[in-house]
Amino acid sequence: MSRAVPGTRTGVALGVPRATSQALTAVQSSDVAGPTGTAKQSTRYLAIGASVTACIDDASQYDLDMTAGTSAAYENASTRFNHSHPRTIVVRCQANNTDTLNLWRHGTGGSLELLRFSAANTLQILTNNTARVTLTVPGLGASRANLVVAWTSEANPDTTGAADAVLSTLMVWNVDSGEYDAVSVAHPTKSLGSFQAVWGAGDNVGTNAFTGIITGVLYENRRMSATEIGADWVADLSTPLSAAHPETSLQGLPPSSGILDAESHWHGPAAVWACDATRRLERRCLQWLRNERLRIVPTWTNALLTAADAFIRGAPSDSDDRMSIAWLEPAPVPDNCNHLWVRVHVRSYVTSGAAVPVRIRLYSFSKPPGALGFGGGGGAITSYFCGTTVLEGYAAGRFVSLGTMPIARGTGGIREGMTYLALALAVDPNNESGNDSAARIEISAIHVVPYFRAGGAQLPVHP
Amino acid sequence: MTNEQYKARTLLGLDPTSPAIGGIAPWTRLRWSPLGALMRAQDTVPATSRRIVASWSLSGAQDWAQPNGTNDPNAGGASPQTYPTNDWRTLGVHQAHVTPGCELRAQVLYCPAGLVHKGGGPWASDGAWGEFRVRATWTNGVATDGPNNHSMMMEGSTKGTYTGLENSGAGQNWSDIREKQITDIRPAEYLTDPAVAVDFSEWTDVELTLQIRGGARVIAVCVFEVPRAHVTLHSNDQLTSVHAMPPSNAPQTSFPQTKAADGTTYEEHRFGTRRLMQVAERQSERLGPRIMSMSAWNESTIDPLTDTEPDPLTVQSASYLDLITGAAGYDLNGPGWIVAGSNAQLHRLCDPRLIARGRFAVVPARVRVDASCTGTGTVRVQCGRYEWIEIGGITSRDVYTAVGYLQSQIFADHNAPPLQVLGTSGNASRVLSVYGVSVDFGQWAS
Repeated sequence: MSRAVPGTRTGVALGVPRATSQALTAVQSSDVAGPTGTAKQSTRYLAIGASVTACIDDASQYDLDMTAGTSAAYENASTRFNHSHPRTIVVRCQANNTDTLNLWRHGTGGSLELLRFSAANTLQILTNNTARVTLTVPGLGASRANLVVAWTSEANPDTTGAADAVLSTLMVWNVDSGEYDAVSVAHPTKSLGSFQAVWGAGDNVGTNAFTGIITGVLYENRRMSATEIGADWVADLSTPLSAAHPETSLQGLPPSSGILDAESHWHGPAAVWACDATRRLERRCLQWLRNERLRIVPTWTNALLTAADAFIRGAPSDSDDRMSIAWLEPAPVPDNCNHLWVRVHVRSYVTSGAAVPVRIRLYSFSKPPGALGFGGGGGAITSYFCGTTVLEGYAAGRFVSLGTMPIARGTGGIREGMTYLALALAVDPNNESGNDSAARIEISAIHVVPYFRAGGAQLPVHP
Repeated sequence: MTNEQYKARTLLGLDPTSPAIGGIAPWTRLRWSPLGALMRAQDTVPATSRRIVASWSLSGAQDWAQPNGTNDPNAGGASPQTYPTNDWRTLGVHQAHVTPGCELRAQVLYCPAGLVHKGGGPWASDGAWGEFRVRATWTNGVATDGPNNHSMMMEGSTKGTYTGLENSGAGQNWSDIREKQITDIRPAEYLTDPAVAVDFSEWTDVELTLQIRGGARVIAVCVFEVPRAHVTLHSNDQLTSVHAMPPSNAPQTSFPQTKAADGTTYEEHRFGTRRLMQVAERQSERLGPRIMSMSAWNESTIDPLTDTEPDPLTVQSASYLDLITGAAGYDLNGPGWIVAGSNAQLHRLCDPRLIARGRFAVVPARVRVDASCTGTGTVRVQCGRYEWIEIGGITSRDVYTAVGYLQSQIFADHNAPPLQVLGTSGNASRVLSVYGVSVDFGQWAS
């Protein structure tokens, strides 16, 4: 595979969104050069170049360039890289199945920190001069492939002492083959000190220099997620469209109580900060009403759905929509939402002949349909549904969005604030097919997520 | 000024949204009224929770495991057992973080129960009845309470020659649906002993065991949070998730200071911006959705006469296989769960200006797996191509845990990648057995 060599851009590399991938399709294996990273608020060093000696022009907000050495970019008595965690180190490089040696070094002796190919095809990290973990690079051959290597570190929430205070993850993307792998390890905190920092070798004169080609380096004062590194360095992601505006979904700058003294001085800005955070946290506990990977996935036919089965009935508003009691679940509706979004995982196909339309709906009821008043919560049933008709192309199985709908909330007794979610199937609901008996449907997952829609139903108000 | 050893706040009946905090804006002189409203608004944030922390359903089954009731339960002699006994059968075990100040309720849908056997030889009818219970064990890293049993009976079917007969007519189970709610699932003495309430008010873990016995014909269960009350000790000046602001302005000072508001004996931290910031900080870090939980229970294959817990999901492979389908590896278009964390996007992972730029969302998570392996097994919880959490070193039966990150919905209507659970026994001759998986938002350990 021929591939344009990335890394010719310099300066602040603002990622250009390209619709090269969708959320549910594989991304990778493109002949188009990947994105080249972006300087962010937490970036301590970002440099892009055709080789490591060209990776000396700092694109971070600090604009503190490094120096080109022999097969290396380096800085003596470095303090900006004298940092244990949280942090992220990224090296973009080209390597084959014989390339070895150092991608990054900081410290010496007992403080030695290395990110390197310890052997062909094998990445390794060392802290405090101790090897912590290795990772085999997938898919390397005799020709050099484009790789993105990342090392993230953060405080270990399950630490039992100094020996496992830090949790590191070593990741590698083989951009050409589309493969990815990662491994995590706990280890002690890095021994700090003002040492020489080197990209691409063990020192500024090229000892233990990496035998491949380095085309980009990043040092981030923050633990980046693999998804973020992938989106910045491997394949850009497109921004999905949404009708559920996330006005309060994004956290904003998180508050820190550490700015205050015991007397609550500086309360003005702090109060405004807390006020902003409180608004954004308004729906923080909102979660799915149904999140089910079905354990049992029968293959449904028109005959099974329309049979005289005690588990199956028609929906109140449309008896063609056949509901199994095994797809019924109650769910408590939080007071701060008024709409639902629904998707199901569907496999729809025919045993022979032409494709048959299959209608899939999800109903929200204020009480179980057909149920008497046992347990309280009587009154007339209210219901909403959303759905779609699947025509073809779902033989392999995929997620299908059924759209959005208001929520039917139960009133009174133990049904107060509850909704009852039921899936329904209808084979050839409009009698357009003569092949109904060949239709087969499998439902493997049902997801129902609530949200707040401005202009939707009024939220409950407590007296 | 209040002068109480315990600072308590009932969280019942709080309006969910749009707290009256509009008065605090840049270049606005701070006065007590809007600041008090802001402090009270903080209490509504955890009080909106109705998070489902455990659930069970027929999950696609086409019939109950409970026999339909046509066999004579008193056939006598050496006739075999044909109905379950009064032994408890575990539907699933779920470990969950609990939102501060919340207790739990269980909503149960069922149809009238079937017959039960007793005696052992000869077997005899024990009538038609069923029972469901939630066993709850609460921990907060220091104190433990439980297991406490919260139970409800399910009436038997009066149909059939021997009673306990299952419906057979078209749609008849729908018109026979019964519903009950188990309330007040909380640590014992939570509402009567403030010291207990202090222990379990902030970031408690609960292990929930859902069980049935007798001739239960359960349709679905969900165990969910409802706000109740939050209590802190007067001297607590640490991060907390509930401000515990009194509902009235009346007894408070007219200026937002900490020290001047102290009572004569007990300290008071609720009226200054220090507590305001502590609550905002803790809520920002920790409030979020319950991501998922699952049990290996399969209504189609379980034997209610002999099984007392789910048959585990098993993997016998040196590579990762989907626990349910057995398919190799993660599949972006395959079935799974959804990580509905659009309202819980952390700035450091998802800031929309520079970090995520609206293209993705990632949430921190803790996974707990109830599993065993005849060798050394690993369970991988994966959501998105690059985000997975590996729970390794699985040997003898235990609950294993690990932390990491999972890709999430960006918006509530984002068709995001599915969460799937994979496993490997490390060696094709070994067997990994998984009984349950629980995934929580956040990475802290209780």
